[in-house]
Amino acid sequence: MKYEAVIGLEVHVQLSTNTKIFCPCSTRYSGNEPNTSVCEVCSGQPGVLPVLNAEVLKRAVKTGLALNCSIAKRTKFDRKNYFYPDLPKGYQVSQFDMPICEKGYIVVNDGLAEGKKDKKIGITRIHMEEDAGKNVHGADGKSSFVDYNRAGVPLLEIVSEPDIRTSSEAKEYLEKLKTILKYIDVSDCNMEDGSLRCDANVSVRPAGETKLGTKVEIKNMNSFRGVQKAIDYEIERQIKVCESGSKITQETRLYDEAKAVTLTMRKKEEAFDYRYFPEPDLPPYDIAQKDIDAIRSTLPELPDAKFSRYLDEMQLSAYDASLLAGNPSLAAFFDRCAAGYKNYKAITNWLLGDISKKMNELGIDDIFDARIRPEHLLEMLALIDNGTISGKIAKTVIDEIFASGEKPAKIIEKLGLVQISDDSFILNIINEVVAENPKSISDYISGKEAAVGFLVGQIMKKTRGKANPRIVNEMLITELAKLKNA
Amino acid sequence: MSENYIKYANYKEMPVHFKPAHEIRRMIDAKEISEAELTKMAVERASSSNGVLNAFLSISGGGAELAGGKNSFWAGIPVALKDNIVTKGIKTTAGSKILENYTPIYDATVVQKLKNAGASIIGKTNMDEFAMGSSTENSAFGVTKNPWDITRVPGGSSGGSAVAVASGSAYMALGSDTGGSIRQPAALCGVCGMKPTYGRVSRYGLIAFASSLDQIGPFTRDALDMAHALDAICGHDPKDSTSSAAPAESFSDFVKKGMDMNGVKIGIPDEYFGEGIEQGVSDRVKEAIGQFEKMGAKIVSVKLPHTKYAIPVYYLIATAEASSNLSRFDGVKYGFRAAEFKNLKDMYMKTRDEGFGAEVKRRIILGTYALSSGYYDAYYKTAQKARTKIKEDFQDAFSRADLILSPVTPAAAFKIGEKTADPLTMYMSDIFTISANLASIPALSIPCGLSGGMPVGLQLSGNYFQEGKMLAAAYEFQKRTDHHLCVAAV
Amino acid sequence: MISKEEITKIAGLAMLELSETEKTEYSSQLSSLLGYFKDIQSLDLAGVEPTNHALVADNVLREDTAAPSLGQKTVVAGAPATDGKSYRVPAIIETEEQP
Ligand SMILES: [Zn+2]
Repeated sequence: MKYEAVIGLEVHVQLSTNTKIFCPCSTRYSGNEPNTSVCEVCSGQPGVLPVLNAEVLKRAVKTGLALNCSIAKRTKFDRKNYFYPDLPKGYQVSQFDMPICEKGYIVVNDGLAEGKKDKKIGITRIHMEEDAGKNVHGADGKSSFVDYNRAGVPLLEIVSEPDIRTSSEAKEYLEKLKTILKYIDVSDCNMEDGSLRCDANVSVRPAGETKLGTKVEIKNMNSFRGVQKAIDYEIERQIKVCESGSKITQETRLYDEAKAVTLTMRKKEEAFDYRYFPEPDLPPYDIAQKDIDAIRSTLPELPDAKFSRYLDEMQLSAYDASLLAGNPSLAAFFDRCAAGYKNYKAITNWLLGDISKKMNELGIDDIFDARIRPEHLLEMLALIDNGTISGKIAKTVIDEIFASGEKPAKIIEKLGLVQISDDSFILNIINEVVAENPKSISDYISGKEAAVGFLVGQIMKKTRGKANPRIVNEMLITELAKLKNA
Repeated sequence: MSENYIKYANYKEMPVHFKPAHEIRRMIDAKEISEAELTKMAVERASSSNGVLNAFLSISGGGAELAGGKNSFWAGIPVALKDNIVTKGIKTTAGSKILENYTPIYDATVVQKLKNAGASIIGKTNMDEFAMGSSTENSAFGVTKNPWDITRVPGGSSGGSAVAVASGSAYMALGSDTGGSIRQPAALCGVCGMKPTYGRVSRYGLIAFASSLDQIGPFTRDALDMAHALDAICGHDPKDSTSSAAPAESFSDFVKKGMDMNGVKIGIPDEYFGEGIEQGVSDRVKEAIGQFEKMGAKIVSVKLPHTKYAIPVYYLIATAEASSNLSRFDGVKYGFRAAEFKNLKDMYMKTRDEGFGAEVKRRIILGTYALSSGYYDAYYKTAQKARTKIKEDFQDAFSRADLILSPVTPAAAFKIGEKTADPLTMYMSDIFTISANLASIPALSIPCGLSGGMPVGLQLSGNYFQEGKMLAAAYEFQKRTDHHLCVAAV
Repeated sequence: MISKEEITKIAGLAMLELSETEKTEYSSQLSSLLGYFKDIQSLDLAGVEPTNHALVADNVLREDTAAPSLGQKTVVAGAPATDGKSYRVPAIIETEEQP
């Protein structure tokens, strides 16, 4: 029998606000000692009360708009009650029945594989909540240590519909979500450092069946790749269970990255009764249409729109357009260059070619963390166009920009890279090369056109690449023609 | 047999420790007494009586060094705080073993305000554990005794604060009122007590019992002092999202101006004068109604038809919120942790089992049950809806009356141990006070005479943010009567 | 009627280890309390909005401006067990306990 998987994802993203969700402690504690970014509120002292960070509400709305959600007119917080050492109050302030956003979607299109159509993955809801602290396990195995630096960091929980069918679709959904969130600048979205976390609900059913199978929740995946592998493993495991005639148990399983397997963590009957109830310490929030409109007006062009524009208006290839649109920084860099230079293909080639290569070499993820600026690239392109430097020299210039951050003109001057376009100088070199390579000349005269390439190479070598290759070519052919006709 | 109380003819006759704070203020300003002498006297009285009364859980040397705000009314005047109001660097237990050794790392907003006003904080007062109780018998640190009769309870949960004022150890004491925990002990100890409108006073730093019902308020000798106390502690607090931005006039100025009681409509809810009220209580309250009538007030009948649901609604909501509020006491961050345990869960269970007293555990179980899956709608949500009906009753009543007058308690102070066996009997003693918390309205208690030699309280409630009117009416009553001049013989 | 088993389950949610005596006592007390509290279920509450919040003004927010934290020493000082930097608890076994 053929089986189909049904997958839904629950993603938690930390919002990159200055302060925590309910207290003014800084969220920038990374690398600091435990319990240093902590106050009476986020350490759950008796008598404390929460006050909502306005920026959290704003970013939640912004995220909802970017993910095509409807925004609640009225929203409230609820308490989710459970005991765990990383939860200072014994309850998490979250949202239960009146989340800030509902009913959105993300479009995925499985890379740009030929013949793939766009697919909408529904978003059930987005809600705001506070993050828990961190438990660190002691070396002796007898104790754990609790750090509340992370307690109270604002989170959005983004819950998808069970619209995902394959692990690669899941990965794509996550990548698209991450790209959008980075575009709107609400979160760092880094799965490795925990600012983006993902749990998956996976079930299988015979192909063609419309009823949902028993779902299993998978936790503890630490990378997109891990999500993909965990889902693959789980689908395969569930199909095997079904094929053996057994029933899937509703449970929560942990992904073991080292072994690439999922393991039972908790069965359904052990499920928690969270006793949600409205948080009495936080009044509800009414969200006015004018506030929603104001936030909407701050939304940047999002990746889908960018992709279409690159494709349709700028005539980039689908491949290039998707690479650029999929990387908010690269796209921003591109857009700034494109505003001042009309050969979009040339910009794209440099960005996706030498510049990306250089970034890889240097381990730079975000182009704005490199020393190169759009002005640098624009200036360099102009210098190529006016013949001051060759494309080959330009590669040296790029290296130097990355190293020193200096302007191309200055680099060219400093390193003496100006292209030689002086006819008489080039003619002298041509004459030298002609004199030194009688074999090549005779090959040429006897009809071996390939000899031209060798001669050009020799000329460029003598000028250490600085001769203008167009002029060298033209003049050499003229000189050779003279010799042939002589 | 000598009387258990003394009735003075006026404030002048009263010894210094029983005078109202506004008299003390005048004496300090007139240099008839110094702030240092006052604090010394208060600390001595608190210490010497504590062996018998057990009103204080800790007594500090007073706050001479804290005295800021020289021009403020409370500068140099000894005050006490219920031990569920956190004080930075001063042990705060909420009457519980689980916080036996807890020293807060911050000050409650009201504490900050009192410090800014220069008040001399002389100690922290005993209370029912986590404010759960009506008799101060549920304290982990022993029962507080009623100074009028030490075989009787002082009421609760703010029994220690009521006794601190009733016994002349403090001129003002703060308590917290979730279902009557200020008004009921005020009534049973013959002092004044008030629960302001929900949100009038910041709850920041009040160890929460039931967040949607809790409110901090003062105990004092008379209504003018209550107005001064409210002036000092009220106001919007950016740290409390539920604190009101409603403008707060000077309540003391308003009260001092006097109020013409002519035509003021005082509503009497029929539901509060039914069966089960002690004769003496009913008689005193009816006499008080007569007094208001004599002063020109118009007595009207009002209906609060959902009164009989108030106790279930209150106990379901309060315990549900409490079950969550008390989850933070888990032996991880502060306070008590059980000495022996097998693992994390065992540590939690033993810590909470050993750290909480019987009534607190009973209420946590009740509240957890009311919120648990399968019962939420039937109990918690139904109670929240019924709460809406109770609120509507009051809004309807206030469309007919300016103030509502009723007894505070069905009976005067009962004997220690008398009601501890049956929780429902104990809960029923809150019948007249809990509705104000459910409706978020302000209400106060002032003495209105004695029943069997024990004080009886009179409750005045007002609509939202009508504390001024309520206090002024209470003060007009006190100008013409002498019940508040009757004090325990201690 | 709330059985002792139910009390045990509820006590588990509330992390209270109750003695058998307490369980018996609470079972009978809660049964009688809830029997009395059931009265509210006879009210006609159709269409009535629950009072989720007391008298409050909506939309209370604060600016996203950081203030100094209290510091490690202050925060962990009052804890029953620490290593001077973090709160110490009995070892957490993720697979068994994490909700
Ligand atoms: Zn904080």
